[in-house]
Amino acid sequence: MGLLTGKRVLVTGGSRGLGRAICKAVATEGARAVAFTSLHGGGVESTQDIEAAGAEARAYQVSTTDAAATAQLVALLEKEWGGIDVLVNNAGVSQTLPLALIDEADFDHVMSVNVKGVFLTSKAVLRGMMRRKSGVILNIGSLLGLRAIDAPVHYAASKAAVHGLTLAMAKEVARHNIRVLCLAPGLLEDGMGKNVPEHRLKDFLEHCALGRAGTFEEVARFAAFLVSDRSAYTTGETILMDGGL
Amino acid sequence: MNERTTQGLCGTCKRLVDVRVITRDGAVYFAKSCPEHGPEEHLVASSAEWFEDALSFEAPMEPPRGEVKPVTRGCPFDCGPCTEHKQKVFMPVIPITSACNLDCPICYTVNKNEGAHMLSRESFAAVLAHLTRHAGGDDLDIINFTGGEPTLHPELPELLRMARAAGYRRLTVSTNGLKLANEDYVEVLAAVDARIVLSLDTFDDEVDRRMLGATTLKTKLRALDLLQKHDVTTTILPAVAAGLNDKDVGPLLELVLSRPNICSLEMHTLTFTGQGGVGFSRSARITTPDLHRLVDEATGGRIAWRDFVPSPLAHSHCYSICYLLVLDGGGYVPYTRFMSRARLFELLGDSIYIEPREKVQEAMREAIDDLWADPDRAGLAPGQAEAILATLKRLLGELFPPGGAVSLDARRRVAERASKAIYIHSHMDEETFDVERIKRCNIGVPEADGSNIPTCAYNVLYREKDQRFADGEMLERMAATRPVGRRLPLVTG
Repeated sequence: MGLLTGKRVLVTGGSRGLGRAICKAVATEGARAVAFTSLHGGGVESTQDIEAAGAEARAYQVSTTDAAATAQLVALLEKEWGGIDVLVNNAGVSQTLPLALIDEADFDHVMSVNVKGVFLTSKAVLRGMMRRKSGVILNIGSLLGLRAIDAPVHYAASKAAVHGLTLAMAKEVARHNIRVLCLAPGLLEDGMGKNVPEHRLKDFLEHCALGRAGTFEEVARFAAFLVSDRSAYTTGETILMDGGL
Repeated sequence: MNERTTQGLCGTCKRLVDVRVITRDGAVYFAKSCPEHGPEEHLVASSAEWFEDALSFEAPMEPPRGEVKPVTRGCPFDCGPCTEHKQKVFMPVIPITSACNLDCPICYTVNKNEGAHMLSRESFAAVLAHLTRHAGGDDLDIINFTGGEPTLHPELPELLRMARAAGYRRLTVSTNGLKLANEDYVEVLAAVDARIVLSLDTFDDEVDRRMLGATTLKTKLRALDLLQKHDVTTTILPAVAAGLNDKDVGPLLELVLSRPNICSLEMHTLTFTGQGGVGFSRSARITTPDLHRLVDEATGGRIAWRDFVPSPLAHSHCYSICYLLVLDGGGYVPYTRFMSRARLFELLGDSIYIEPREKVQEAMREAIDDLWADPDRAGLAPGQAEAILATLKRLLGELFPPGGAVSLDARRRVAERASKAIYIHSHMDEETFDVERIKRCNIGVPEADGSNIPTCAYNVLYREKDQRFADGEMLERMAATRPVGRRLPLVTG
């Protein structure tokens, strides 16, 4: 028996990187079905990972900032699966830019994907969760939203917003037996972590107790635990996973 | 056949007698027998289903505060209240005068005009002091001024100001409205934010004459317009009599729904006690389920009897209450279509009339979630969930605008005006008197000496012994009009 036996999971931004690792982890933990979205399509590898673990896999090309498309996808899964037990809001974007070069459009784009997308997808999924009085939402935050670190300010702001959203949403939907959590990774060795300038990476490693960047798999395994019933008494928290910074 | 027992009064001599509660053909009757005046039987509810349903709602009572009398003769003859009384007073009703400018054939109390009683400021101050002391720091919620006709008291505005100064928030004046056709007087009452409980029984002049002994409609409609003009919060209170003004229930409800300043319809089932009522034809007897049926018929089922719940503050058969959310763009929906009956019952637990307190906000928030999560739930018409949510969103915007500049009072007013209430209040007379009900009465008639008599006991047993309100001639006339030998045969269970 895995941690998530029989669960129906939706992961946004699940075609690659941390999202793909989360899809694989939840399937490995026994999820019955895993659907994931990606902005640009693809996700063959994720599908293979999920199916290899014995779960039903579904891939959808949907922007999380498109409220209608997101609602349509959720309605489809609700109808065909009978409900969604777990949502992982993983989709996000960043730009490595100093403040001086972040223009209004950049700011709006990052906030739209990283904050509005989380809100819209969560709201769509919560409707069914509230009706069933059950569910878990895991948001992917960031160390950069919690510490004074050299980081793109719009990205840091968006992740801090996700932490706040997690708190308020957790409080509001707790009455419906729904948990909302945020997992905030530190520096990871792949994905957005690849864009970290060399001197900042060096600085990070110097101050990190474990002396290394984390991996997608480590974060994904912990994510699977957080959305499982094993962590049933945890909600509203932003859990930092940064190797001891 | 289901049988309960209680105690009541002989319809003639008002002595305490045992009562068998009989269910027959779906209706409920009180059967009793006086050793002196023989058996009698009276209809108390035309629906046994409602009768039992109401009893399924239970709430804890709060014992009375202040001076409580020892039991000597037994309930209901030791009122003041006595140690057997189970509920504190939630609404003091103060008869400030015995004078009245009508002589209604249906009048269920006693009032004398000659040498009329006028409550003095000093006595009223003493009443207020007792009430405030008995409240023990609780919210000073509501006082009702009644009579006679309270607007005949020359110092009513001053008494209202005294109550306001003492800290009472909701001051209601029960009136026949004749003096409210005078705009200057309405302005005076509006200035102290008095709430008007207007007796309006019918739109039919002939029925008006038969029930009130006068044609009052035109004057009352003028008063209603003035109350609306000056934005005075108003309740419409008809005493409903079968075969007379029961046809007016629908139009009265429409009136309540059509005017923003009218917050509720409070229907009283006609009672056959007091200087008029005791001699009034018993064919006019009507019960709470009859009024449910009339509302249902008038609204095409949009308000059904299951949209009503009892008051947790009284015996379950005293009140039957329905709250309606007024929808933007027209229409309304009973609260019980978007929250459980148990939840509405709970909301009524703080005061007789719901106030927009934290508990209400919490209930509305729950309702928003439930409606949004499950808009197709049973009991709602297609699109109604969306209409309710849109209304609640608009209301939240008014209650908590971005500038945050709304005072608490203004917020309360917005919230109150967003809903309408239908109260059915079934007073008791000597024929339907139920000791179990009177023990749970939350409406008290307070006196300057600190005593406080539950209202139905007051009307049936005590007021006629108070020389400020009654005299010997009146009592003799009442005794002569009391029907005898017209009782139904006693049905054995």
